Amino acid sequence: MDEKRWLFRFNELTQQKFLSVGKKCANLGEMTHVGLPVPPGFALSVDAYTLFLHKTGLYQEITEYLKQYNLFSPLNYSEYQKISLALRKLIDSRQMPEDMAETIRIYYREVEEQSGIEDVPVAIRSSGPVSMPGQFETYLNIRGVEDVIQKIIHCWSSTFTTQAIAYRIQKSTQQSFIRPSLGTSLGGPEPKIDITSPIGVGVLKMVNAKSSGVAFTVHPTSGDRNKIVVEGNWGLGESVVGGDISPDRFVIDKQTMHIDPTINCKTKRVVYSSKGTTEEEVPLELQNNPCLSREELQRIIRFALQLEQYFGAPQDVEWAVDQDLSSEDNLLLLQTRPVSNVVEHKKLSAENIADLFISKVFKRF
Amino acid sequence: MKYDITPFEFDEKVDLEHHKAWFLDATHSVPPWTPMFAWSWINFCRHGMQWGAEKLSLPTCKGWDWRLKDGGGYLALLIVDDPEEIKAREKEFRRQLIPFIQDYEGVYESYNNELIERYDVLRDFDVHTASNIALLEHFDALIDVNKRMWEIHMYLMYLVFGVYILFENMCKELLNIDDTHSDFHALMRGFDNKVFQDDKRMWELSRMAEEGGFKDIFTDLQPKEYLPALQAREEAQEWLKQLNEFIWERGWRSNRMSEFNMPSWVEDVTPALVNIRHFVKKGSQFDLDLERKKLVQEREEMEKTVLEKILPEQREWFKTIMELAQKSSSFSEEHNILYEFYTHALMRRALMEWGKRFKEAGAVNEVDDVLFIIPDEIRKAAIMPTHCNLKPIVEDRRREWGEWCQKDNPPMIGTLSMEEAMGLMIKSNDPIVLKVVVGSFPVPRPELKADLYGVPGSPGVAEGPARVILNDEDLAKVQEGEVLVAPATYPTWTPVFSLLKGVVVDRGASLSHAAIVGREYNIPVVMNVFVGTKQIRNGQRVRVDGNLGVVYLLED
Repeated sequence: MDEKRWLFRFNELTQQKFLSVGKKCANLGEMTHVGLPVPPGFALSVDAYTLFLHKTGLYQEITEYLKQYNLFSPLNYSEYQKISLALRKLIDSRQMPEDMAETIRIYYREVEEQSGIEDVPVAIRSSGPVSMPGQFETYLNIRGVEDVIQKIIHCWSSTFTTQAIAYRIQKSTQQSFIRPSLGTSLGGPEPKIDITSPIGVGVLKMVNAKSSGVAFTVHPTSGDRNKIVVEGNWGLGESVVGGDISPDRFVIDKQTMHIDPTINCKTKRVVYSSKGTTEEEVPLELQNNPCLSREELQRIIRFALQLEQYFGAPQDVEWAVDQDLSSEDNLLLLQTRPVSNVVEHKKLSAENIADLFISKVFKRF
Repeated sequence: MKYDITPFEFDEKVDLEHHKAWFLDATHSVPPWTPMFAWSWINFCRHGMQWGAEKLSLPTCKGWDWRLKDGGGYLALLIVDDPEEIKAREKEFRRQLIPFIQDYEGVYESYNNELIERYDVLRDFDVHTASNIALLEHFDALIDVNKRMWEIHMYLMYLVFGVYILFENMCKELLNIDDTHSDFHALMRGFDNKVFQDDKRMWELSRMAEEGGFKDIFTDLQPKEYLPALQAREEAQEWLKQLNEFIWERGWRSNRMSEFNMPSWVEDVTPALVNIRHFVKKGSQFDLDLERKKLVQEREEMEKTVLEKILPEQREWFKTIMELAQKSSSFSEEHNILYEFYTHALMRRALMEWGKRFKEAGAVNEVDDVLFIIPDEIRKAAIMPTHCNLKPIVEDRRREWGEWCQKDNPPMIGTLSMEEAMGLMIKSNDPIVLKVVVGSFPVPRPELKADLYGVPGSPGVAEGPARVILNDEDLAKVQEGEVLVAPATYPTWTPVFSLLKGVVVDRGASLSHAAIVGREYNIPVVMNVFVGTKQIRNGQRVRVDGNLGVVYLLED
């Protein structure tokens, strides 16, 4: 069988590939073309997902399993839950076909070589062609290729969470939507409703983060395009994105490059643990120190502006300072995406205001 | 009696059929208009309001209708009362609002630039050397720009004042303060605008006069003598050059906004020199700069305090509305200069040239007879003024105008009581009616034992001798430390605010000139006292309480 290529290094990807590897990974690829530092790693395309389901016979089994349900009318929540449990168990317990596992091993070895660390810890992130934040799982600090392979399968099986299944079935019911089989080229059968949802998976070297955070090239709340806002905390980025602590915040004026810093007391940080990540207390002497040096901050600003210029739109960038690396190239970018929601939000708010205007000022009598 | 210059003359037989009440526009048509100005206002201000309201599709109001009676402008509101029609208008109104909310500055700038481009061409036209036909073309172009000016004026004013009302409503709802509250005033001040920038330029000229050693001209002579005295002084020549540049750029204004019968500063620079004299008297500080720093800081603190009281999820749109509402102060001040004053000054220059030519040709007796005819009568005489006699029409209308100036036009014509009529007006939800024309009404509070009850326009408490000013000519009499008492104040009065301790006006709302400028100069202003100019004597000591909106007479 002639297989499409389903595994790519980041520097082999561009945005055009996003349908096959997902936005997140295509984006990382795009960043390498701008000459910006991203962690070493590779991406599995949606074809890998499909290939896995077919090679293992899972696709057939899922179709068989679902025959007991009438998927053309909505089910109740406990039924969705039952389906989810059954399918995830089915998928999670399946081995990666050996030829696929071998290819993954080759690429993982490359990452080990690039970082000079054996069993290099990696993050495994789902990367969908449509962004469904928080829906699919991410695994941090995974060491050793066999565990990596296992977690890739977990990522795929996370497309069968209760919510995801319910969403897809309800959507197909509503639209009487019958999708042609994704696997026709592979000779598979044509199910009436396809509840699979191919996603890409990214495997990135775990950044041993001294500090991490985000940078917006537009003020995220006011929509002011003349401002850059950088936020960061000690440790891994989860604490900043999650919004549990008050991070350090730097507001930069693009014209004057004047920096307006707000250094907060950062009591907690997220760090690696033997199994994934954990939250811990920040040492007292670090709590009130800025989590970025001036030099590091300047580099984040420069990179963020480069990305904004390259993509021609305001960006939301995730960054991290890797303490494993030398001070000249310890700053890594993990993700960038357009801040479309700011603009959207503005529009929404203008419409809200228009409605208020009508109801409050031009009251009918 | 009527001028008989327009189909908009009030007609008792039919005009009370559809509107039970017509209100005198006392702000703009007291004293009564000359025929030329009445013609211009009734045609184009009326058109602009209707155009603005219709373009925006204001849900409950189609603008105002106007009639002319005894030189007074009378207005009635075109209220929409069919619920279906209101609903349809709301939809379009919503569509019109969005770009304004998203980019106020952009919308404002583009309209202003449109006008400025047209003004520049008209301003550089040499009226004195032009042939009659060229002058006629110029005059027609001016009429056209006048019409456009009113369209833009009213379109923007409806939007800007509307958003101000929206903000006030939200403040009432979420913070329990309205626009007579001093916290609200703190949010609305600490803003620069072009009128203040002009004042600052005049202040700078006053400093230069002092440094140049010729400030005695301003302290020792009468206003009419300033210019010849300056021209005679060697050391004042460079100063006069700078004054000329300033006047050519910014002097297209006169001391009366709604008339053609006062010279612009370009024609007669005396009012500008009187302003400079105010600053000479005032000394080395330009108060506004000092005051503004303080007011900006206070405003920013108040913004913070207020935003903290708003729920986080409401903060963003609340802030957007607040920022838009804050534009209303500079819009309110700036637009008069750029819109009415500028076009009227250019109109006046062309009219005076016609007057001169008609007088020379014997078509009229005096240059300003031209203010007693209408554009069609100018056209009638324009090409061969020697072959046209306008004297009888001018004579009739001058006599009528003179009689009307001797009596007060009634504030309302109609069959309703004043309260009923006001209630009707408020039904329009028209932002200009609410915040400029009508305003809030004073509630007497006997426990305060005040002598006059009004509405707070700008916070603070001050005492001083009263200076009652009924017309612009008396403005030069204002002395430092006085409390100004007037029917209302106008944009050209702004410089005297630097001398004042407080202001009391008979009529005014929170977006009236007195309130806006009082807030920026940080002096107390009490508005809508109705009888201030009748009950307060010149020189009588008064206490103005801008926090409570009351006035105490401290002497009998």
